[in-house]
Amino acid sequence: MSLLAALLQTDRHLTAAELQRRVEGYPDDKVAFRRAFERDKDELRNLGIPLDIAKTETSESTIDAYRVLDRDYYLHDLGLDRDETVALAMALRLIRLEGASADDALWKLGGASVEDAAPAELGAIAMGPAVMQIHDAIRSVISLQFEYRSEIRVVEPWRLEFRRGHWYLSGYDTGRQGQRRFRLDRIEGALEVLRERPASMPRTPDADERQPWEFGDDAATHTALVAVDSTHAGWVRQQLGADAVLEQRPDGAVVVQLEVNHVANFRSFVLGMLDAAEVLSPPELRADIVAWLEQQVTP
Amino acid sequence: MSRLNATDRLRRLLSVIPWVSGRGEVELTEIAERFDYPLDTLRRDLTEVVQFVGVYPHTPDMLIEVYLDEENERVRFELADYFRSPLQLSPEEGLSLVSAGLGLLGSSAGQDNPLERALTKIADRFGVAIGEELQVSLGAAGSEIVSAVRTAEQHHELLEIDYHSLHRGAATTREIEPLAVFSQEGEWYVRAWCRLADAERTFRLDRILALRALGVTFEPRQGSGATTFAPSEDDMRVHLRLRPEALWVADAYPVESVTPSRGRSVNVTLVASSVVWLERLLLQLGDAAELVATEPELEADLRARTARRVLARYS
Repeated sequence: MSLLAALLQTDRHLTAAELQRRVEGYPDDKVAFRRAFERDKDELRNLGIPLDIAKTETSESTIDAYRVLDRDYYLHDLGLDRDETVALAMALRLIRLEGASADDALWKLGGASVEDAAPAELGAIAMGPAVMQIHDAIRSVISLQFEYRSEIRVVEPWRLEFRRGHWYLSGYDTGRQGQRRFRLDRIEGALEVLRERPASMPRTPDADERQPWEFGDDAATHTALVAVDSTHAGWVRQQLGADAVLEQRPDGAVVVQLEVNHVANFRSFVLGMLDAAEVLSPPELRADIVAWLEQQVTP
Repeated sequence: MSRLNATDRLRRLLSVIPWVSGRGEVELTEIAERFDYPLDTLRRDLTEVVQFVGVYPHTPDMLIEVYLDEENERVRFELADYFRSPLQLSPEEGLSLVSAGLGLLGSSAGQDNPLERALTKIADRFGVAIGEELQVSLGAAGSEIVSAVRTAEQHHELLEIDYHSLHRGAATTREIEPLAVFSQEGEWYVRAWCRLADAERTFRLDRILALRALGVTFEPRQGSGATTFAPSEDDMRVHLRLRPEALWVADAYPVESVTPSRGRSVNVTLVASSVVWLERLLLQLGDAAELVATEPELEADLRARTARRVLARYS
């Protein structure tokens, strides 16, 4: 700690010999000092403290001199208001970050406020080195290479998403020439950052908010009407929004309208309601459901 | 609190010193709680470590002065100028903060949200493009619902919910006493005492269609304490053979085992909480999945019977 103080409170870089004199507690013996000094330097690096190293000429040779620069060390004013800091501290206590020293971040922001009753944890997000590596690559617009399902992929990374309890990477798969999504914990072995290979494809806009049946490559778009029994009416209204409800029947059933360009996903959505839903139109989508069901009746 | 090694203590001290310096005199107990610092260790570190930190030429005016009051309960520092501010956040910490914050944001409704403002500032600093490059979702339920259930849980308020149960395939209205809100596998849940079932139940928040706070408080019962959603012994086990195009099933649902089968197919054992759930899955997958067996046993032609039942609507 005294070493850190000395490295901060100086207007020039200091050599090891100077530090030995300036920092109390270092042994006089040369070998013992060197060992203690190396250990302390490692410790500072472990804490994430950036040591700035400069070469200094002496009469005999060129040696390293050290300093910790103000701008590297001191927490920049993040411009957080008090309520914002409290909200962040709360987020760190409610959401457990696995594999990350979130505690340290919290202390840097002033620790957890005592006034808050200790709240129960709400959920967890696994943070690993891969998340950071990929985020860096996205920011630097650099391709990544990794093994996935026993194949080597070269991917231009676009977006990190934490959903369904896992991290996913979306990007352009250069081998498959299309947008793909990868689950991070399925990546086999190490990620390789291809510094020499900048990403070149334009990124897609924000992640898709479209419904599965609006996703498709199907050329034709169908406007489908689906009757849904009262048992599922509330659920379907929530899924599609009130605007999709065309008709409200006296028995509580509803008729909803959907724009479909992915027939398989539409079929799956309707079948999820079993016999509480019926495709009314268009005839081709109604025929598709009937054909699908008939195939399953006769195994 | 656990024992701290030298690095753990240094890490904390580097944040404690600027925090105390910015405040004047502070209770040791408050430092201990805020920074998860055992009180005895803290007291010792202040008098035996911090007291002797100073810079060249080590005249008294260059040392950090640690003033403890007579009862050893309050502390203030002087001349800790070179520790006036904590160490910067690392890029990892920045990304972690934003991720945790985004996760929580999905559960807190309301305009002018301080968390949202804080995240915008941190994301700016660390070059995190929220939404475009980073998205975090702990569940599909709307933040109004999650926030309302959390409020009810904290204040022990009785809720009436319209709940769409996939098991029953229908909506029911019930009164619940929320015990714990949690996110698992990317969905929000509430563990609650259900007055309709007169038993403890877990509800998925994205299936709550509507909710009303009844303005009545309840005496919290001793819950099972479970804040995870684990398959129970009573649930049905389903053995399926999945063709490659249906492999997503193994990712999307709780599976107990996955073993390779002929071709590129795999055999999976799934936990199913109801027959209706299995009927839906079979119809949706069609030929891509073959029902090998269930425990307990169901009638063998479950898929065909279900298909016939749905077809009846179209005749």
